[in-house]
Amino acid sequence: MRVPIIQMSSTSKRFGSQSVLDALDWQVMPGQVIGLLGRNGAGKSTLLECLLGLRELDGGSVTVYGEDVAALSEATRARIGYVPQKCDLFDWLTPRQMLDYFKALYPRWNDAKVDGLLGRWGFDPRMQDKAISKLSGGEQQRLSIIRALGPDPELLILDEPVSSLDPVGRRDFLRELIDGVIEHGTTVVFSTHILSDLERVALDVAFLKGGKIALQGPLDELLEGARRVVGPSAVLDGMTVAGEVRRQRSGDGITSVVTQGGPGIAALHATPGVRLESLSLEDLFIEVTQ
Amino acid sequence: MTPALRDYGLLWSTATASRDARAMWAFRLIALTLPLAVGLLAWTHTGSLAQTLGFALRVPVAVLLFAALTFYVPGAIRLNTPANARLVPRMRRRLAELTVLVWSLSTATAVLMAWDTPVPAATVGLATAAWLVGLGLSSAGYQIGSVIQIGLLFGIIWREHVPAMQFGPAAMAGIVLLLLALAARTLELMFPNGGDRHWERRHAQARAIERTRPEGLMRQASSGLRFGRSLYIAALRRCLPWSQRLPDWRAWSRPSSATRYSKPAGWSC
Repeated sequence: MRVPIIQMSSTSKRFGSQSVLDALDWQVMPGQVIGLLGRNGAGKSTLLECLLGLRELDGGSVTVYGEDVAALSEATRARIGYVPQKCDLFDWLTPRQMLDYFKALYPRWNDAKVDGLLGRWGFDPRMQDKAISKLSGGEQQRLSIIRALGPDPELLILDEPVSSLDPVGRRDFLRELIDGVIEHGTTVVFSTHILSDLERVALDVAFLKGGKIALQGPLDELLEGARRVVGPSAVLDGMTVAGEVRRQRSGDGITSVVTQGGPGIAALHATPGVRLESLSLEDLFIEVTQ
Repeated sequence: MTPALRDYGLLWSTATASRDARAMWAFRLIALTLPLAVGLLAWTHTGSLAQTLGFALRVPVAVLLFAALTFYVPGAIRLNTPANARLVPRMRRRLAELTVLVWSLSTATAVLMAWDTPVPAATVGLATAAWLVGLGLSSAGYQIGSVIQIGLLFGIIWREHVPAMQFGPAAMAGIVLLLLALAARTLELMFPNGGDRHWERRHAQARAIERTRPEGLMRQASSGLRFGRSLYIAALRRCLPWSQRLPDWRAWSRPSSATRYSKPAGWSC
């Protein structure tokens, strides 16, 4: 029986009067690659921070590798890599000094991977001896990713990892993520707004809305099964649609139901006046998070 | 070398690497020149070569110790980011251990330096420990730390008039216990273990660390001056009825405006 790596149970988090996570339940299984989606301010960063114990919970519990996230053992810490949304590097050091620092603190450090990434991502010897404060935002973000990958983490949490990268940097990062991380069975949770990147990388997607995981599933299955059922309100209003995600009634007597798929959906096609539309990931994002 | 010592060396060098190069040069210059002045003063007062050398040699040790502490403490706090505190193996624990070691060695050095001087060693030890607590708190962004440091300065200047400086053994033991408890709490505040409060303190810590650099100090002082000036202008507007008519305080700098709004008779504030 597979045991979840991350287990969030009834997790709640508030900032003042604003509820960000509302009794959220979530599991991440070993080897999963999950893209976390949500609108701006939905609480993606807060969810990832709570998941790593970087913020106190107002309710519920989080365990990582079976340990309470508030008291992770040092062995478990060494299994986790984290790339924050805002780089938090030691800007008074050079990239080489900072990487040597973390290398000394982790029980395992992949020198070959770090050197390879430094070389491939444009950190020539001159740049490796330049203070981090003098690097551009994109260079700092690349360094932040290299630092997270250095200890060969078994669980990698990435919070908007490509937000400061140019298209070339994004492509390089995605290639590395697929070839050097996902292929090795690392469990990855990452949040992003760039849906095309997510479609290339993620095997599963989770939509965060209203402080809960509103929808989660394998990306292929979701895209294959998700449909918008459009038809006269007189027909659809009294009908229960399997896997219903959202229902909207327009003023002209037309009802639109978004479903993640389920038994009997295809048969609706035969209903007079009802049509089924396929959904792209972007459509699904809009429909689920609206 | 044991793994712990290797970690301490790594943390020390990384924390102190955040020092400002100009400040380091200034400390070196002081460490070289101040002994001459102190030695000269000691020679004219005592006329003893041994005592002169004793005083002169203590100065560079004290200056370099002060420099090392003022570089290490803010640097160590910068290393302990919320994510690193929670996720980097051993780091936070080792930082706390190293800080206790540094505090202990510094206090012991200060006590040794007070040997064979008119200043009681116990007083020096307590003052050093209290100063270290103040430095830790102020570097962690707690204003009370600066209050402790300034209070100590006044205590040293007027030590003859402060009865607390002439305690008996029982009271001294009580003060030591109090300082130890305060030091333990300071250590927790210096190196929080992630969490919301840690995130909130990062801004205050960044400002405290900025004040350790000359340009940062100037920047904060000028923003403080700006704040003071706006308070002054607000007070002026409130207190002087005639100033309510002023369209813009900057207009005062223009001669034509300055002559237009003359002070009415009988104004007071």
